[in-house]
Amino acid sequence: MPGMSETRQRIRAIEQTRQITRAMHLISSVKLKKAMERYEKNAFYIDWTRSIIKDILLHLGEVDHPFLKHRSGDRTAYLVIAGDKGMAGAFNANILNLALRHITQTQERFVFTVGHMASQFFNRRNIMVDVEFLHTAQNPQLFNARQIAEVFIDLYEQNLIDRVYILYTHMVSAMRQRPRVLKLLSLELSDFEDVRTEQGNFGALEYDPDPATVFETLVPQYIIGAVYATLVQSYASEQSSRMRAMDEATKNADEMIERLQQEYRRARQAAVTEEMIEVIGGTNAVRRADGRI
Amino acid sequence: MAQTYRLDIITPERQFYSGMVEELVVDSPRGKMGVLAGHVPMVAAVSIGTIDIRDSEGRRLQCFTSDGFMEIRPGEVVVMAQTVEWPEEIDERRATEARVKAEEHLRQKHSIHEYQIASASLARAMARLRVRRSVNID
Repeated sequence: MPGMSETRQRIRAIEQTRQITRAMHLISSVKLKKAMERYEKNAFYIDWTRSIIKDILLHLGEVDHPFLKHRSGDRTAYLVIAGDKGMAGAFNANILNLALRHITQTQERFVFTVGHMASQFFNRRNIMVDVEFLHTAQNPQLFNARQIAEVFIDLYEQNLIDRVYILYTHMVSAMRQRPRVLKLLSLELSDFEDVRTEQGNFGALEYDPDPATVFETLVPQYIIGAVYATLVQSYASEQSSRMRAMDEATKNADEMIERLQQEYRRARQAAVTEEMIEVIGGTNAVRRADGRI
Repeated sequence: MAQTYRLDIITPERQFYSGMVEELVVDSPRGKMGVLAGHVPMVAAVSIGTIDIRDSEGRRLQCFTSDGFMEIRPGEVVVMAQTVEWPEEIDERRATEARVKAEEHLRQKHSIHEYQIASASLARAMARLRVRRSVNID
């Protein structure tokens, strides 16, 4: 049985850890609240854009646009969005394992990462990371999304890649997240199956100045919006996972402290008993020596 | 009283405006374009410039917009753009700096691509300043 001072030290150490996990829990719950606000505002935008793009795709048989053309090549760009830090439960592991499964399927691949955890993960597995977008995972802003989107649009327009996928963590609800793959380019009607449109209700749309020009401005905007949406959702998911992980850790710490405190009390009681036995034993010995017994 | 319709202006970062309006005027690639109630359903490109709104109480509002697009549906218009700002949100000094920088970039002849970026950022800066100053004069 460990000694009293040893147990006391362990209790103190766990209390300190508990303070840290509790603080992290609080911080991530505040961050999650902000992230959820941003997510909700963005969800409104992205739903609208997707529904308009679907409308246009449905009614646009004849427009010949590079973004719409399915390319038969195998050159695939992946944008993998993870966190900068761990301690978020299975958040990083889930998305990175999904990413690994997808990435290893293609030979000609380009890997783009957001978040240190993603870069480290691929480096350990000897998968070359082509571009690492720094300072994005911790507080995604629209201009980060714009930079990333421009890289992809550029590569695609120069015909260096055939398709673009984003691997991110999708917010199902505040408490439930799921790693997911989103195809960014080329745009195909089949990728918009989950989107509802209301267009059928009021006949054909007109386009000003013409469908091709509208499409030309709409698509880059959609891509920026989609990149931003995935960044925001991943960020919110990370905060949510961390909040839960840290809450769990705090509870575990409480349990451990409770157990150690029992151990401490027992050790203390044992020490007291032992001392008493010694005292009594000592007194008896003295008495015996005096010849009173 | 003029007929009104519902207008929503949204960006990836926020829901900028939502309310009943009488008239909306935006910059389009072919010039100013106004939308009144009962407009034919349409998807239109919106250029960098200003959005003028006359709301259901007859108030006139003006804001800056970067490029985007709008969808006109029966009784409802949705404008989607990257950034939309009220005049009081525009930082005049930052916009002036951006203008100077963009003009400088345009002077140094770069590739076509860089030229496009610089002229777009010049257009944004000019539009921001226009919106900002039109309010100051009032």
